[in-house]
Amino acid sequence: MPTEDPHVSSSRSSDELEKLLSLAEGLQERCDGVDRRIDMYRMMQMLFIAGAVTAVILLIGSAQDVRVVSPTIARSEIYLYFVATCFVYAIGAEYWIRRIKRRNYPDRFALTRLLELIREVESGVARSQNWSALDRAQFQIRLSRLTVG
Amino acid sequence: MADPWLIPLAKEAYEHRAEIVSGWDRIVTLLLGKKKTIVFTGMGGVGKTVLFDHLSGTAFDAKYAPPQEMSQAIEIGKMPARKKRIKISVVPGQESRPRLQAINELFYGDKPINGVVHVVANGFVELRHPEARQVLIEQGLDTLQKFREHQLREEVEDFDATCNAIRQSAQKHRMPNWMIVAVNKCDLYASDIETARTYYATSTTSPFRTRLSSLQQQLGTDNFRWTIAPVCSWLDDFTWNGNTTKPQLNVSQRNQFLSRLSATLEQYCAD
Repeated sequence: MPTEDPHVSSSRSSDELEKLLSLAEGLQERCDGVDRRIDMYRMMQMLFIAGAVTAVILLIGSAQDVRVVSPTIARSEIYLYFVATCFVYAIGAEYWIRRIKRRNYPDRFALTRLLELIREVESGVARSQNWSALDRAQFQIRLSRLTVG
Repeated sequence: MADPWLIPLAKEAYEHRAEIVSGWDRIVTLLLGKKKTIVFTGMGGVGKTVLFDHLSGTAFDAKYAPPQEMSQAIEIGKMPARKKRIKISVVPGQESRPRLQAINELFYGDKPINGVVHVVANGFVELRHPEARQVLIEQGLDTLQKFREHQLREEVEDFDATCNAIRQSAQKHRMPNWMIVAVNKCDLYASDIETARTYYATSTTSPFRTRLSSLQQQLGTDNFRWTIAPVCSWLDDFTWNGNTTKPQLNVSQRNQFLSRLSATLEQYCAD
């Protein structure tokens, strides 16, 4: 049975590890992008809720106000429509957030597994491949940027 | 109408807020004991989280099972102690953003830490991924002996990083002023515990002990003390490339080691 040259195998492991790290970096970028989108939706949701709360306060304040904005609509009715719209949008934002999270779950799962695997094998490959201290430091710095959660 | 006394009272309270807070702290200290902050450090896979769970009491729950995944964030909890409030923070062992954040916050932050428990495992580092085990075996770490030697070298590098963080913290706060080296998983080498003690505590040629001595020299022997404490938490087999090491201790012996470590911690926190 042919046996593989240990140096070739070692070099291959090093390349494979580099590929895994690049893959993890790509996944991390996608997860970060998703996090930014979620943050944006959360902010919008907060704004809708704040708008709705403000409108409710104004609505209570203007309970006695019977002035008419147009011949058919009272001021309080405008506030009411505004509150309802804000709540609908806030609920919509929540739906989108959950949907984005659900879709991103496989990426996060893969990233967690990848990172754990890279961290566990990095030291062994670095030693067997005789990485220089600088090479190892560079790899570890790239690795330390990555995270999930 | 507002009480005319209320505004000057509030003004006075605001002006003396620092004294009020420190007074409150004194009352809490008197009632509940002094607050101490301890940080658990160590490489990934040495068993920091499980040890922390045993010291905080969580692990004694009947439904407890050790975590299957690596810690992704700093873990914070309390250790029960008489007339003391011991807060424990566990720094994730793997190179990651949360680890850097935790080190930054705990060692370089505004609040000083009292002590460090550095957890090591005498080379018995748990790898969670079968693929990772396979890769390391292919890389030549095909015997338990070779694997442990490799992990001991890694431990020294990790310990070096911890020592640097301690030194920087000491320069800023003059704290931490003690360290306990918890030599974990002693159930796997109970018959050979003296060798581990020699390696971590007494040998002049051991790289770990050399680094520890240099840290003590840097901080000053009067300002920094350390001790070594063998301990084990979750009793489990350790398998490497088909070679299984069985735990040599039972639960009651394990509990003795845990209570000894707990007592040492309390004693260090008391000073």
